[in-house]
Amino acid sequence: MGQGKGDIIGGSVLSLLAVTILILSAAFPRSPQMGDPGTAFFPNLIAIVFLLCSVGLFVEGFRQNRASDGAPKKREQAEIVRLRLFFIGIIALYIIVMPFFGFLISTFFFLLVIIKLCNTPGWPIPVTIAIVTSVSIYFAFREILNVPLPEILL
Amino acid sequence: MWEHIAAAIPLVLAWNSLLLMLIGVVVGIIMGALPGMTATMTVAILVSFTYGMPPLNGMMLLLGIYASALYAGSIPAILIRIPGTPSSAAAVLDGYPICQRGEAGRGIGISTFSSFFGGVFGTFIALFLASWIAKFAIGFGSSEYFALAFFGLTIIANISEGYVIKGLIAGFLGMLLSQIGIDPIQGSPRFTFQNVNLVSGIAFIPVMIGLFGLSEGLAIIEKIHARDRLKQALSNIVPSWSDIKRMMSTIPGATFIGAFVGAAPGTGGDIASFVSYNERRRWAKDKSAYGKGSIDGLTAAETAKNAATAGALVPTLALGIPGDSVTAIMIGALMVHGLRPGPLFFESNPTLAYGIYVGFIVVYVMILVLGLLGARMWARVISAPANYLWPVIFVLCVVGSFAMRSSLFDVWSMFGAGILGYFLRRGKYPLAPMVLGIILGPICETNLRRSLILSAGSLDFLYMRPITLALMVLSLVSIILPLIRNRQTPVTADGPE
Repeated sequence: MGQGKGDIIGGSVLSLLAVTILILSAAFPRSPQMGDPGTAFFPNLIAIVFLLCSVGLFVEGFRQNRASDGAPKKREQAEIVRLRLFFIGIIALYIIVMPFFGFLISTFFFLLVIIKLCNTPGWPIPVTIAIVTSVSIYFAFREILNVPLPEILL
Repeated sequence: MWEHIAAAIPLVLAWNSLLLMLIGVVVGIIMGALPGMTATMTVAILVSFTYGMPPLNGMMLLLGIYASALYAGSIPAILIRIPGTPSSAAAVLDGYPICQRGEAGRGIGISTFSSFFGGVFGTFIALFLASWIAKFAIGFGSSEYFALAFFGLTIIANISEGYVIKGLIAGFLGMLLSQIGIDPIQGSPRFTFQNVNLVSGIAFIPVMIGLFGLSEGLAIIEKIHARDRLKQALSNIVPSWSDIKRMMSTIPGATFIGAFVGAAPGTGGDIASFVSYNERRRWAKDKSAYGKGSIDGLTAAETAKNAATAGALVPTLALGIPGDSVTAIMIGALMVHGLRPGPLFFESNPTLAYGIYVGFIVVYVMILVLGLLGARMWARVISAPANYLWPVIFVLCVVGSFAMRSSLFDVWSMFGAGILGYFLRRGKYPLAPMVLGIILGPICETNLRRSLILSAGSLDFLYMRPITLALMVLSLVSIILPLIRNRQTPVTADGPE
């Protein structure tokens, strides 16, 4: 996707966000204090300027899109997009399962999967790194820094 | 001032502080030397280690990481032409040609010496500047604070790397994020959607970890398995007497440029090093030597970069406005301890405030010693296996955001900020303005509303108070100048040039 098209989509999404903020702010209570513009004042102010900037981005994107007509567009390989989505999914899954499986087990498997996803050959070194790292981080945070990391619930 | 410095010295030189600084310097050099790992990211993912420490010790660790990561970014810049951190981009210009001549060790030595002198002298300038500004700012009322925060926000346009609209959008996005939670004046909830986790607002540190840690990893995911190899052995690392004499003609000017550019809120080592390099080149007798391995060019860039690091502490500690992204995280780390940098910080926490400057000098001494003694080892770090490092960084992002309040909600905040940061990077939105927006948004709102209440709704305070008026005029200039510059920039298919 070209930068121009990206800016058109970005400008549209951000304009929608600004309008949503304005609608939500309308329900905020008025201030009883004299002179105070109230709870909604600042979010409204930000949303209005934000909306103007987003429209500006939309227009800029439109201009760029027209200027780049006919120019070859850089496309990200589908394989890289899939890899990135997979990474995001694995990290989300790691955060979801951590409270159930505890920090140690979930971190060990998370590290192992990610290390293997990074084209690391063989198993002994990735497994050793996953064990040593998860135990070291657990020890550092739990025992030294007194952070109550999630324990196994199952 | 001197009595507070004298009181801070024994605390900074206590064994636990020194050990933390040493750990910070070693970790910072390793991370800074790895291409793609920035000082901001390193400080963001490791800030969680400081929550349980006394504030001074925590700051010593962060200062060690901050200064050394920025210093070490020049190691790959000189050796393999890839800056380890954005601030080291100027070091490539003359550092890499020095390496190409077969003098890689000499290049690293010059970089280390320049960094040391820039860091130490820059710290002295920053110390005097900060304590003077803090004294001046102590009488500030809410209208001055509003004008100051507003001025800080207008700097967004200047630091938007040529993408003014995108910089403004990132800044306002940060301000919008800061609006979630309880209204600071009236106490009513805003954008909380009846979620109890949102009542206290989105925590700043997890957002920073997501923006600068997770998003960076996601952005370079396909390159994680790649390694850069060093092809040259290092020798003659300690600069010769003639090199030192030559460097001394550049260091004073570069230090001043670095410290003052760094002291402008929102700037950083990258701008300072290029400004200093260009100024040195402008006044040079033989301009043709620049870009071909000039000692003066490398010295100018490296000295200014490290002086700017010290300069960034001026607005951070004296005014509570972050000098750059790293100092923004430091403000967040201090806030975890219930401390708020600003004009009163030097009055209420003098030992900590001055201790930070004393610590900075000690950190630079460590960088000089470790940088020269361990140069060969740091050079090997460039070839470190990123396929093992990045997974560990992902875990540290998760644990670091969880550790602040033992809250999984903070982890999800980090995750959300990481995805948002990834899309912002992809769309070429600068991230630094977002940080300014998150920090300065609430200061701006609270003080504007207080001023309006005090003046019964009148805007007289904007022009009746001289400092407020001066800051508002500066803000206007700060908004208009980049817009004019941007209009003169030709638009291409890939955005402004």
